[in-house]
Amino acid sequence: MPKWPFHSDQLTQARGVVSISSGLLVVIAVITLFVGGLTWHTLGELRQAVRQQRVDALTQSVELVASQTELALQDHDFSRIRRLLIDAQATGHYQRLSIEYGDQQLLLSTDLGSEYRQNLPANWGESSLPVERKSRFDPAIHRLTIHEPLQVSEHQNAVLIAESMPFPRLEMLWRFQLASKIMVLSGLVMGLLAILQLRQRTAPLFAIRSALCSYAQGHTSTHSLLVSSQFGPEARAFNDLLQERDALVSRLDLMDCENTISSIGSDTFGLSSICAALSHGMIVLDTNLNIIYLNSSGAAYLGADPSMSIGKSLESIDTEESFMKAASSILNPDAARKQVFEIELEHSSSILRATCSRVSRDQDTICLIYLEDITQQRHADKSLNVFIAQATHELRTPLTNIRLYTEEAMDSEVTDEKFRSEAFNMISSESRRLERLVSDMLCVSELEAGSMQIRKESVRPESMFEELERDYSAQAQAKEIVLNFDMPPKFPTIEGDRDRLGQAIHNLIGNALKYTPTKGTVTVKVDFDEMDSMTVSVSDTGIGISKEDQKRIFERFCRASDQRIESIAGTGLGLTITQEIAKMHAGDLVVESELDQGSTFILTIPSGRSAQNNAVNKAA
Amino acid sequence: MMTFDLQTIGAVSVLRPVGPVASVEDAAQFVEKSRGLVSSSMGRFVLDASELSYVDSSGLEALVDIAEQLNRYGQVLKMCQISETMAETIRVTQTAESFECFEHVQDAVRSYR
Repeated sequence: MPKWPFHSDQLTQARGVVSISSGLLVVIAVITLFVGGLTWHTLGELRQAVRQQRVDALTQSVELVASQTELALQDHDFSRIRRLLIDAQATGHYQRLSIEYGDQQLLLSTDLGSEYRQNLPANWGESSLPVERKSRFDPAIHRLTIHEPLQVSEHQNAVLIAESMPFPRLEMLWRFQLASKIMVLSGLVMGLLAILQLRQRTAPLFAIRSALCSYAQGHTSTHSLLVSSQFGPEARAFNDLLQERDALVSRLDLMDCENTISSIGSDTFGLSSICAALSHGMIVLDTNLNIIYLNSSGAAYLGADPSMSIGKSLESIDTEESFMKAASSILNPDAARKQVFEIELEHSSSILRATCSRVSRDQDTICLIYLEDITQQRHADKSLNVFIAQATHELRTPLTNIRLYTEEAMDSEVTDEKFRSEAFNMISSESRRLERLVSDMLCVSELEAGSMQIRKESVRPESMFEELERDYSAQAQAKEIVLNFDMPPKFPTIEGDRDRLGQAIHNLIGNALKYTPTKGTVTVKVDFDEMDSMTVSVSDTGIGISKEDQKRIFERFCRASDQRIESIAGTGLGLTITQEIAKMHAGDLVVESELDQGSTFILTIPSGRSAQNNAVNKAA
Repeated sequence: MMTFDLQTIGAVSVLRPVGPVASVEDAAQFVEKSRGLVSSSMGRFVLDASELSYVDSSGLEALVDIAEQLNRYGQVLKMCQISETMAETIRVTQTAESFECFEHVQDAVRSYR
């Protein structure tokens, strides 16, 4: 027989085998009992009939002998009486024949050892002998004794006592009857076994029946209806059904809940639809921590299927133990009604803020877990903290220089005008640096906050580049750097913010001049494609940027890790701002560089037509 | 051949497909790439359509597919810098409610705060 847990086909097979064996045993037991009992009874009747037949024959024989004896007694012929008895015994049916008279005095007997009279008595005396025939069968010796009264005269009575030969035992019939008795006993044993087996098989049914009766009496909780699993597969199946019923009831409760929510919602949308559309996760648990509602966002955060999770324990889908702990804690009536905690999901590196609340209505209590994805918020906070730390650090250096030089210049003991002049120059230089830094930081701050706006207008690039050439010619000349402007013969008009575009190209040319040593060359090349998109390439023969530094030079406050630039003033914000400005114009800024070979920054700005094509139609 | 530029701004994944979605193969590649990012970022996803010059019916189906996946996280597909042609396609096919459009990437990213 297959063992638990059964597969469905094995279970069917096992159930069939058990039913057939028990039923067959019962049938065999009944047949055996019936046949054995019938045989036993029939053989008993047969033996009784045979004995009765023998008794009847002997009785008739005794009656005959008695009638002959009476006649002989009336004739006072003693010898004839004796012959009659001897002849009767000679038939072989009797072991002993005797005649008694008076007070049980022996008149005559066929037993040779007995003493009896040799003639008839003159006085018969008072008789205490029976007046009716009496028969007695002694089963111990299987012998029949018949007392047959003899009427001698009106006042003279005697009795003929005939003791039969032992009756034959009818061995064959007796053996058959013994065999039938054994059959009956076997039938009883089999019946007993069948009853035991049936009792074993029906025990779970009775347990289940008892549970169903309890259910009928109003005890509907699963805990009170569960039967011991020791009763076997039926009991376990019944318990499984109860568990499934619980799940279904939970689902129905949820549906009721949703219907209720829908009914109290607006005319068009139910609250359940609204909950389902929330970008935040929502989990509703009952007091057993089973899920009765889970919206799609909540399911996504937990990595679960919302439709399959209803009715299940939170433990079965929750990979984070903190939810279970919080929910268990919040459902405690003595605990606070609300608990807020943050959790980092291992599988997605996301940070969730979970607000766990206990909600009570009438006698029902549920646990509501509200999940907010605060990953981006945390990133923003972290970025802000880093920005503040970096800005503080950057501001401290020029402020310290200003403070030191001011203190030195104000010192009354210092009378050297040349030193004072240098100090004032340094203070002025550091002030401008501070101004640039603050300006750049404000710009980055605006970019971060999203408050920086570009005012698009028609820009004529040639005038912008003429201004740039004028601004930087003197600086290049002072540093003995060759500054070339490679301009196209004709400039189309582009759409953009002239000031911001000028700021971006300023940063690129300024950086190129800053990081190019004396006698170097800086080339500004402007191109337009067939869509009139503008590409500004600023190439230099400077110190170049390593591959590692190229990956991070667009980050805020980032400067290359080259020792040669440590003495060169810079905020590390210029390229960040330039790239953001490019992106705000739907363009881009990329760098191509090799260490000690120079760098080329390529700024791409879509022109009016392509920018118009790329512009977002918010109405869509 | 379609290529993809991937950028992570804070905790938001920004995908910029380069080239048109003009075949079933392109659409499948686009969906596969997007699905992975949506799943790994738990729905913090922005589609930068600045280089997505054209989408055919399979491309539009791919966009709706990605939007449906984002719906599971309670999000909508946030797109930025979509072309006029694409905006018209979305309008004509009445699928605009599946998307949220922004002018710049930063605007779309900021909407996740």
